[in-house]
Amino acid sequence: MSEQPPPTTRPTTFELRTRRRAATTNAVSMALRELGRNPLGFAGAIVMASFAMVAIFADLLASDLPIACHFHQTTYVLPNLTHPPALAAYDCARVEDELGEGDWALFPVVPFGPTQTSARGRIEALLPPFRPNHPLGTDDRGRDVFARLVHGARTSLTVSLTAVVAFIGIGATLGALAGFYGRIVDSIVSRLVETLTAFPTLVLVLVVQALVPHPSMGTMLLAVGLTRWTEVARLVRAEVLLVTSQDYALAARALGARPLRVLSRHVLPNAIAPVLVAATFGVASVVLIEASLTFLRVGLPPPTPSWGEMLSEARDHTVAWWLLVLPGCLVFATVVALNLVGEALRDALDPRQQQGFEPSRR
Amino acid sequence: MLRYALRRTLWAIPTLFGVSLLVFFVTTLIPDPAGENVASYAAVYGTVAKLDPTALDAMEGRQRAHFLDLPRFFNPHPMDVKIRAEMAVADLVRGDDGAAMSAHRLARLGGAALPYVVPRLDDLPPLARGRVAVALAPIARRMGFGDPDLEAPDRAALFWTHLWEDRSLDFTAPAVHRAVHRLILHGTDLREKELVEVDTFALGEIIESMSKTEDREALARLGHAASRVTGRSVEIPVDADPSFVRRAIADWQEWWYVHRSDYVPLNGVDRIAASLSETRYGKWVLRAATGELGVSTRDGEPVLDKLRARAPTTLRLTMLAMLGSYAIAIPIGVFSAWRRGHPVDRLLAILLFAMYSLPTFWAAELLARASSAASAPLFLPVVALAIGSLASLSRYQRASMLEVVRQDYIRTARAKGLSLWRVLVVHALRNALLPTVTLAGLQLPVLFGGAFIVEEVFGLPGLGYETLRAVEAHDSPWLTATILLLAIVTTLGLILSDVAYGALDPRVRETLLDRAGSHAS
Repeated sequence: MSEQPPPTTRPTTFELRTRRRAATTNAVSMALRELGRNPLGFAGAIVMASFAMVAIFADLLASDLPIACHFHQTTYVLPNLTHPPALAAYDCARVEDELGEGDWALFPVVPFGPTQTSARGRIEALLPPFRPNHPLGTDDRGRDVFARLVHGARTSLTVSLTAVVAFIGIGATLGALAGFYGRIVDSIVSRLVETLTAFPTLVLVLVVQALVPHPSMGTMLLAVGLTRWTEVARLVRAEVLLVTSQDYALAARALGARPLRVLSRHVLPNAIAPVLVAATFGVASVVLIEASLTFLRVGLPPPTPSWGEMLSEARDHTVAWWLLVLPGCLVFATVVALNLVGEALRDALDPRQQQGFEPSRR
Repeated sequence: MLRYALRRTLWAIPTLFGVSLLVFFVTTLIPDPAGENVASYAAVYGTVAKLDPTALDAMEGRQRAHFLDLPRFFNPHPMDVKIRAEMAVADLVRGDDGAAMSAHRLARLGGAALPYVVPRLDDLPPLARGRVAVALAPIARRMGFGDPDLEAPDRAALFWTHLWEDRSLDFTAPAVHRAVHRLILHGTDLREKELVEVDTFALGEIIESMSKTEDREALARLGHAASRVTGRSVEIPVDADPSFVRRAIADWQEWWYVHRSDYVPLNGVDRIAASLSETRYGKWVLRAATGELGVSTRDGEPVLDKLRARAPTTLRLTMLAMLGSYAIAIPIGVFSAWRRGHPVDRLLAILLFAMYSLPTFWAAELLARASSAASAPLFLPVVALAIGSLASLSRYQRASMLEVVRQDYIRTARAKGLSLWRVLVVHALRNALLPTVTLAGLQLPVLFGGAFIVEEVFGLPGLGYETLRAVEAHDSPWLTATILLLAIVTTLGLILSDVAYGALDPRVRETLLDRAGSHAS
């Protein structure tokens, strides 16, 4: 609410140049430095980094094929990623059974894929955790919970990062246009923002998922991206209005810089900080939206491993506490970690909003 | 003050327009039910023209139910019965592949098209005249003329010209109005026959009267007459139960709204208005504005009735959650601002942070599991819903208290020797409350989203519960109506909280207007 008056001393040309160079890298390096100082934010960042590693290397942690093997006179490297046709009918258990003289295989931590329902012809449904084969048990179709959790992390992070990149792109473009061109463009964007504010995001995405002929991850990303950009647009617009009224932007224009140059050299570096904060909270909220919708069975279509999907299965099997507790804890941990990082970043980068606090838009 | 309230309210008009456009855009996601069929038929038979007319008719009907035959936003040439009849006649005169289909269409237009066809029969060349006259035969049979002449081209033309010239049938609006009125009053077979004799010309009057009369005998006759002239079989039997009758009437009204342009001519101003209203958006928004939200495809109930039945549960749930979270959040905020840095404040901060990050669906599921014993039916759902907003409101309240406590007038009040309690509650809280209370509007969409989850988990029969059933059945009228209702309620909530804020704190009026309207710099 209360904005600090910007410093009004006129910078020299030299200062302008150095400031320009510094500004682009400043925000990100400052963010990392400040995260190091804030222990809670640092902890959140560590948690998120480890989730990201799990998501990236999900196939090494749990897969239905070995990581590498020498089998039937052929050496396969990373068959779990390449899925060679010769191994189409195989899973880890069958490879292990048919290993002959001189053959070898390197299995993932858990030798089950996220959608694999049986091994050696046996379906072991609803096994509780701490079994030798299934460290975290199985679900009602005999799929390994550990494998589904690990691959669910990948789904969750992919969905949320893509959606966030999409809505930041839309929001930054529209916000910059609104701030730069004012008048009609600004009115239209403001109307759009106001309109989208009136819709509960969760319900809007739910209805879109229900009405499109073939709901998929893509339609969900699109729906989330098209509804959640308003916050970013508001931030970027405010930043554009603030910066273009500053003397250094005026000086740049007086020197003959085109609007696009002013935008990329002066406005964007300033806008990175608040947008970064919004993006962090954005990832948290998209993780929640995805999990909630899949929990309600209108999110991602069934075979996709997702935390929300496991939680919705838990509703049908009240004895299977592990289906309720494990993915729930992971969603909770992700959101907590992201919120911690987001608040640490905001405290560090965006002192104007410090006393406030983002209203959660789930 | 009044001026501010009015200005803020006026800003809602473009927003509501935007809301309607967005929901309309969502409805366009519904797949065209006939598109695939027509395409596959065309692939098999080469052209659509050789298709069985009734099958094509059924496809068209499905398509038209979603107004997919109309342009999106502007219709330069709105169709009416006159144009449709003339087009069909022109096709018949040409007598090519599409003639069979045109004959079928003409027969469907029925009595309403006769005033535009029969008087012009004489102007047609003899062969074409015969074709048109034969195409009209199904209409005559519906009207009750079993004349053998009707199938023979030359004599059929003569039959129609005679029928028209001796004016034994009265194709005028007042006559139809009288006929329907008499049917409702007396309800004899003779009166019904009178109505059937003008065929589809009376449809508008018949369907309008359905909602005006309570007389079951009359309703049965009206339903029978309408079914007979349209070839639909939606009867309203005398002994049917009231909900069936309501559904049947809603069904007829829905059908009339979609097919009105087949039976009613457009003249003068109507025609100009129709270029906007006879569009997909126009049809949809006009219907929504009059509260006519269509019929649920899942169970045939009118959507409005279902909304009336379901909305109170959701509204009660969200309002209780909002009141509850404010009631707890404000004391917590005040307390932790007062005891800033105290261990209790730190503990509260951690607790609130965890609550703020707690996924609603997980919290709800855990709560539902934890208590198998039935306590107050709404208590746990409200708790599950309130957790998130309670946490964020408390943190807001704490921040805004801290902001106020720093002000000079608080120090002055303390210096005057007022008690801490009095300063906190009377001086600080009153000012610190404002920003928090105005968040009520912004909390609405969050709470509505949460209510959908909570209702599903606890099995409360509210909007969310019904919507998730509708998702399984692809019940698009219900889905669009729900989202429209929620958006409108949220818009009104935002206005209300902005007006309240502006009334209590005149300084923020301009900022609020600025936020609502475009930036006027």
